[in-house]
Amino acid sequence: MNCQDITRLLDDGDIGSMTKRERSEVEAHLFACPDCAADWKVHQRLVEGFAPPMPAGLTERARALVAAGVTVDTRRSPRRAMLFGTMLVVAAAAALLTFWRSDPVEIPAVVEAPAPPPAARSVVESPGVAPPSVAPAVEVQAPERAAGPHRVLVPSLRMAGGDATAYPEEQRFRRVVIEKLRTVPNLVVLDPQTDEGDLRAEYEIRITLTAPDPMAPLGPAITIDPRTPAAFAALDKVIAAEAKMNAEEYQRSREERAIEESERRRSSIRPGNLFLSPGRYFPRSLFLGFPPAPAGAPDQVESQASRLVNDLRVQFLPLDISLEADLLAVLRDAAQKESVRMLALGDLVSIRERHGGLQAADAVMAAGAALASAARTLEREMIWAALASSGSPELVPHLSRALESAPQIDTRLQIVRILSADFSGDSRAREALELASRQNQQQVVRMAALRELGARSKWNEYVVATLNDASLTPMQRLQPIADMAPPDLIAATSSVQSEIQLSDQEIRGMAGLIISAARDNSPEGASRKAATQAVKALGPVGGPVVLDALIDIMYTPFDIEPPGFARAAIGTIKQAARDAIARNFVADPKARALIKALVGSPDLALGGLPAQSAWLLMEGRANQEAVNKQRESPPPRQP
Amino acid sequence: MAQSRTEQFDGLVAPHMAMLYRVAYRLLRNAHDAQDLVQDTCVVACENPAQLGAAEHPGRWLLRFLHNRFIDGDRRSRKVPFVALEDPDVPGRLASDEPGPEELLQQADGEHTFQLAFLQLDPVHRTLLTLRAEGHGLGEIEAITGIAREVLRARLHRARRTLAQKLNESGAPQPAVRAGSKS
Repeated sequence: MNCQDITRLLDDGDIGSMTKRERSEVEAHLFACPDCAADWKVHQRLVEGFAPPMPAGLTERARALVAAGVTVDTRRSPRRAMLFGTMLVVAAAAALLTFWRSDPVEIPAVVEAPAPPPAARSVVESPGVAPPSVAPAVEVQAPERAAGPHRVLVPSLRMAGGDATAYPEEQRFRRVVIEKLRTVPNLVVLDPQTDEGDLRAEYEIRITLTAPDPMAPLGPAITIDPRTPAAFAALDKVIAAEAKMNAEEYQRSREERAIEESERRRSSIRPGNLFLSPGRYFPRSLFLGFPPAPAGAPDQVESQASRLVNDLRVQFLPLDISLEADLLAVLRDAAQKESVRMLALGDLVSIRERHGGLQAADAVMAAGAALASAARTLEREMIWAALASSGSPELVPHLSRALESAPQIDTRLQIVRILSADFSGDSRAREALELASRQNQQQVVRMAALRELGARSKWNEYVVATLNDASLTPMQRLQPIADMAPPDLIAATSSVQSEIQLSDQEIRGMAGLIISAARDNSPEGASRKAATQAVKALGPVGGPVVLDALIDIMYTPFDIEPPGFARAAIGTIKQAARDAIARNFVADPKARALIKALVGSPDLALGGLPAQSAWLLMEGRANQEAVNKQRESPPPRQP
Repeated sequence: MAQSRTEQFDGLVAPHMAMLYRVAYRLLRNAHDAQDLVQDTCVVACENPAQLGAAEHPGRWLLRFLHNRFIDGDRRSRKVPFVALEDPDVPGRLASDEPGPEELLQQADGEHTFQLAFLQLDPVHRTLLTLRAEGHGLGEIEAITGIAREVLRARLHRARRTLAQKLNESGAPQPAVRAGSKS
């Protein structure tokens, strides 16, 4: 046996079927020849290397891609980002659940859904007017409903983590959840600890305090397993729906998907969210859980159970007719906390996504618009975005009214964007934009409406002229360019870069305006918000002058004490400058040194983990650019 | 049309999915990228129904597509880590796309180092080593990659040497040499 023999074996031989004598000869040679031994080790390691089993659903996803006629190299343009915040459930999860609408299980209907009260459209137009406390009358335009009643089994507890001390608490949580489930109309809840007889059910709802996945330490959780062939078939539909969604997602670049996924995860961490685990950790089941409660937190069993049951109703259980009315009542109830009303709105939007409609879409949009009018700046934006994400045409009249009457300019500008982006095919939306372009009280709104109607160059001229108009306040001068800030991380290169030419002097002037606006204590922080947006718009312009301007903004002292909203808002402006540098000056040595130095910096505003993330992003983008360059001039494949 | 493509997928592609995924995973050492690569391969393969239907060895033919897709470098562009700027301290482990128990296991005992070294190899070398580790002989690898046999021999040898050298440089623990491993 010599080196050539070993190489021949490694290249083309059937090593597994070697005889004992051959193996001895090989081992003898390997003992004497370190090169061959090294080759052999490598081969051995590759052969024995770990390869996980094929993930469940991959074949179905691939089949769906093929059936959908997806092409590999076509990329979809990035969609407009929505500000879901904490009020909306994961859109993907909602989309996956649409199948429940048309998939009644094999239990005969016994209880008919109650007929809705006679139509008497309740109008909530004016904010601050207390709505009736009872469920309002709704218009009947019912989407398809599943038959009922539906039977769910809540089995006895099984210890997930083996922690005996958690057991009594689990029992209590289970009891509370069962009590609340029993209040859901059209649902039969079976408890093997108390019920006897026929315990057959369509779904099994298992309750734990510890998730079965050690990688996802959660608080109280519910796992939903299908129990009947119909329910299993429904789960196959989940996989198909996921494949369909995957086909759409497939066209995105890794960057877009990674950032969106990160955003989605961030926004999805709220009580009661639904996570679909397509065959990885919770195969063939759906999972609903809370983040773990912090140590020493007050008892939250009641509220958590309520939220879980509510989410079950919204996202999983067949829609019962009272749910929408209940949620609408909460949305209209001015006595409720704003956050509670926003959650109700989020649930209503989920119902629309899941069932393709709302019984009282007009009333929901009216109540949402009223809530938006009353809410604070940030919430207002989120509410409008949530309403827009419903895609409901009933929203257009409310948007049109708010475009003329909303007291805040940023609200009007947001509405201009919504009307243009989300209702582009609606003639009423176009009319509203045309009207606004002619007679809106605010010039910036008129110009923004013109821009959305196609007069892009006029808008650009207006932006530069406004920026240079010394008769205006800093906020007013920044407002138009702030409206051009990238809406999200994905669109990091905004239209400012490609459409507006700013001289070095204008850029320096803009930095000065941003700093002045940051010092302005205007109501609701409108000036500081414009400053933040202007920083985001400035970054993609690029160039050394912009870099210096952003650094100036980062390190300008503001001397605002004590800690509070103002200081936080200025921190946000500085962080926006830091992030704009990280995103737009990837290859600039000065920028790299600056951001790297912030990692581990004790500076509360600019250092810490966010700085680390900024640095990682910078590194990632630098790598991406290097890879792109390499791809543009690939080396020859064959010698 | 969609119907016939689906039928072709079911008849000619689906039976090889597990093999394709295994090879893709070995090449990329990443479950998500491997799934993407397999899906890519399926899509591209089904865009060529005539060739797929006429292939004498559909599995080999699919591997050729997978190899081409992999070499195209599309995957390499997807290896770049991206991190959102906002709230990085929010735990990101609630969703199910984190490393699973299998993936954690594989990181033990120098496997991680081995993966890093493997990923540093030239893509063609990775393909050749992977196909060989999958048990394909030179003839099959030649058919899949379109690389002439003598060139193939040289490249396989060079690939093994390079990987061994990288492992040696990294100081990764090496398994004991056994002459009886299956191939």
